[in-house]
Amino acid sequence: MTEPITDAERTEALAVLSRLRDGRPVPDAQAASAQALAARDPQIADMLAAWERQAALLASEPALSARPGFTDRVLAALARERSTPVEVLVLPFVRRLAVAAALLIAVSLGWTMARPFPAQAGDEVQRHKHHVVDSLRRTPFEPDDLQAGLRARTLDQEFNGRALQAPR
Amino acid sequence: MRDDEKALVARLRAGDETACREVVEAFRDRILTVITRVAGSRADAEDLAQETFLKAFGAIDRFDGRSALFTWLYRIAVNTARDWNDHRRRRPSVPLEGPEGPLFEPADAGPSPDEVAQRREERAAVHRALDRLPEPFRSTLVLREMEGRSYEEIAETLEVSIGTVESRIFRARCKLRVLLEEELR
Repeated sequence: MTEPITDAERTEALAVLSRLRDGRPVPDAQAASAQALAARDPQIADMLAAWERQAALLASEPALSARPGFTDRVLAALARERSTPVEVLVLPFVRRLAVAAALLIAVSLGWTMARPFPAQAGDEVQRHKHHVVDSLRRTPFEPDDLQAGLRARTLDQEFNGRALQAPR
Repeated sequence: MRDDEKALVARLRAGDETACREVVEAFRDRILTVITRVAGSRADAEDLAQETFLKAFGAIDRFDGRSALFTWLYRIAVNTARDWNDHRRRRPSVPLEGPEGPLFEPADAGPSPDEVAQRREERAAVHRALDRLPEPFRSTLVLREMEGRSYEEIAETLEVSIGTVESRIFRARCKLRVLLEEELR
């Protein structure tokens, strides 16, 4: 008894038969297997018949001819296009959008750079500056001394460091 | 690219109007036909064909000569028709049949009136089905079944691989069958 054909087998066979129909190269074994399935499966046979019918309908469409004066109309449009003075007017929408975005970025960057800004850090940063810099180094030219920095911090009133000191 | 075509391209690049006329006259009917088939509208096909030639003349400096001039024009035409089709599908649908009947009238005098009527109905149905076939299946199937292009030419025109062309043609045939049955019901 023959095994029933699954949908996956049918689809695979039809894909091969579609290529064969157009004379595409298909391995012999694959071609033979697809043709064997087509011979015993009415659904595949129906599909092949439908392809033939629709291909015949599509192929029977006649070629068309342009109406008289077409060439002159194209050349007149070309002349008009070539005489357009400002090229940006004929740019497609996306390119015009890109140009506008680039201009916007340039203007906002220029405005940001030209704005006056304070050369000093804010008050809050100024108030804590000695904790983070001065206490670590006795002069600005020495490397950081973490121990010295921590000791200075514990003695700092603002840091409430005295509370941490050991009782004498 | 052949030597005479190289000379023609050089004249196009120089802006020679006679060269433009030669190109339009040589290719207009084939360009118009493929545009009508891909776009599915005879009414708009001449405008789209004109747009194709204008795009080609405007971009002739970018034509690298790796393909024939006609293949390059053909690619621009197919893309122009596909873009138009995408745009049209976002608007309310436009009927494929004009007041005078299907787009392409057969010049056929042999069969009986019944056969003619049946064939006309089938042709109208296939056009409606083709119009409902989504891209990229529609243009791929048009190039294969209506234009008779090889898989290699289709791959070059649509800028996809041969494997993609094989797969699209197979799927397009299956989808068109379903749509055609719906239209004939």
